[in-house]
Amino acid sequence: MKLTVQNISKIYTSRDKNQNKLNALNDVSFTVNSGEFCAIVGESGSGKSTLSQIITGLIPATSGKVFFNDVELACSNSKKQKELFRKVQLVLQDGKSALDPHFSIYNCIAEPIRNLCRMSRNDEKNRVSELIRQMELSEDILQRKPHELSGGQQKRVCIARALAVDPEIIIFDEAISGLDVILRKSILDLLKRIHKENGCTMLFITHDMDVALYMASRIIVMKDGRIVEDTACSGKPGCLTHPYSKMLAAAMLPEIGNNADA
Amino acid sequence: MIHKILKNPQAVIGLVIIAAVLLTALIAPLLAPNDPEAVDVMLKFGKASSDYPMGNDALGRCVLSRLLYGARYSMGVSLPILGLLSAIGLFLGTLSVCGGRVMNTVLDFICDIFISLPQLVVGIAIIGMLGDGFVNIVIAIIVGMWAWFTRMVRAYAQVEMGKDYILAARISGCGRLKLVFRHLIPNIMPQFIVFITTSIATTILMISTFAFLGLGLPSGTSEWGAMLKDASSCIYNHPEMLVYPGVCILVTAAGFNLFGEALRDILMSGEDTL
Repeated sequence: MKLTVQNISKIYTSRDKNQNKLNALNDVSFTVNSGEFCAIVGESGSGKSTLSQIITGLIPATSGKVFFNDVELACSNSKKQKELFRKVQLVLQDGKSALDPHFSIYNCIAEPIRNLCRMSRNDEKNRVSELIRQMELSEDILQRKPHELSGGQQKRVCIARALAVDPEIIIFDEAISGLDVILRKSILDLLKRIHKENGCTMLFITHDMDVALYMASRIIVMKDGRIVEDTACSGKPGCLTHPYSKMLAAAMLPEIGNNADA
Repeated sequence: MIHKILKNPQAVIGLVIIAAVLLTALIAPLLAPNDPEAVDVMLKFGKASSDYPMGNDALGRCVLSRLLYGARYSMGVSLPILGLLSAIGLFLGTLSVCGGRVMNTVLDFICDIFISLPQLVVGIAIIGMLGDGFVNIVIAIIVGMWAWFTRMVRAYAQVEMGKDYILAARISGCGRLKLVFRHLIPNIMPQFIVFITTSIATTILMISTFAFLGLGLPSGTSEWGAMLKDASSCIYNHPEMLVYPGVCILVTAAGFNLFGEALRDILMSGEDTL
């Protein structure tokens, strides 16, 4: 599914007397083609997460539109919102807090299926088992509670839940932050494999340029709510041209960072 | 959770006291040696005997029987009140958080008004208007306390609504009702139960205060607060008449407070992670 973000701006106004305004997004426009793996890179506070929440219809934009396959999907009612969630799923940053502590892992994964798909209990069971296998997890964890899992397992459960409704676009909002390097690599490889198998459009929001270079076929760099660079990615920092992008690349791990000027 | 409660001495002491009071309330007719309302002026301030183990009061009634039946009033009135207050608190508190900014502002404003009024004054005014009776006590206490329960649920719900699992549930297609009943309420319940447990003590004290002031319950009712009031007229000659119901109120309120505080400590200790 093609995703088009057109002139999106978001202004937050403080609720105090001063009513201070913060421009989180400023006239952001880009298109992600069907099946593309696109990374959005930027520092904390550059508007990446706000953008992900606007695309998924969780918060409204101050101005601008979001199109899916050139059709605008305004979340004017709960039916339209469900229609959107059936097509677009979001994987949140913190795996532990994104899972309801009172739900079993089975219910965590089955919840979007129950709410967004019409499926018999038996089919639902099979779908959850299939997802668990795809995430390289054991079926033993299905009856456990989220706090009984490790960080990596929690993250895989979150990805399984996003995949449960077979969405056409998946947005990963800082989905690998807080994981150790080995776990990070295994999750990234898992995502690469899922992208290859499912062929869905993936939007990977991160502040790590090395991760973006490793994963994406295209990189969008954001700074202070604006896009400063939108470029095809060759996997090497040399594909970046904007000084800010180069600065982010230079701040990477030494072995990759050394090649930033290449 | 049960294992953690049983390992906590404070929680166990609280639970034992609560269980003892509840059991006493349930089987008071079996335990009481005499009719708690039976007056015999010949036995006025009678000393402890085999027939009257704790003696007799100013009207010759059996003190022990009255104390045992008093548990029925404390439990029988406070528990339904707490049930109703919890339901009102959960409904209005979650409505305030999930019902939009206007609903939140309006409910907050109304809560502010009710919280600013002293509960006892509200209770006295309501019982004064409606008259004595079980239902009127319930109404008086609910009017005095509903805003506290609503405010508490609202505070818990606001914290939970900011958490990622709520956002994840929305993305999973949960509507508002599902969000409230399947995610929000189960997650605020542990903290809310602590609040309810500590509020039982407040309610018991309030019922006794009303009875002490001669409000709500008919004269001569074997309620601990009412017994305190009756005993206050003979404080110098028979101070023990004041001590018995006072100790009952103190121990029952302490039992619920001990359990509530221990429950809070257990919940605050957090969950174990791998």
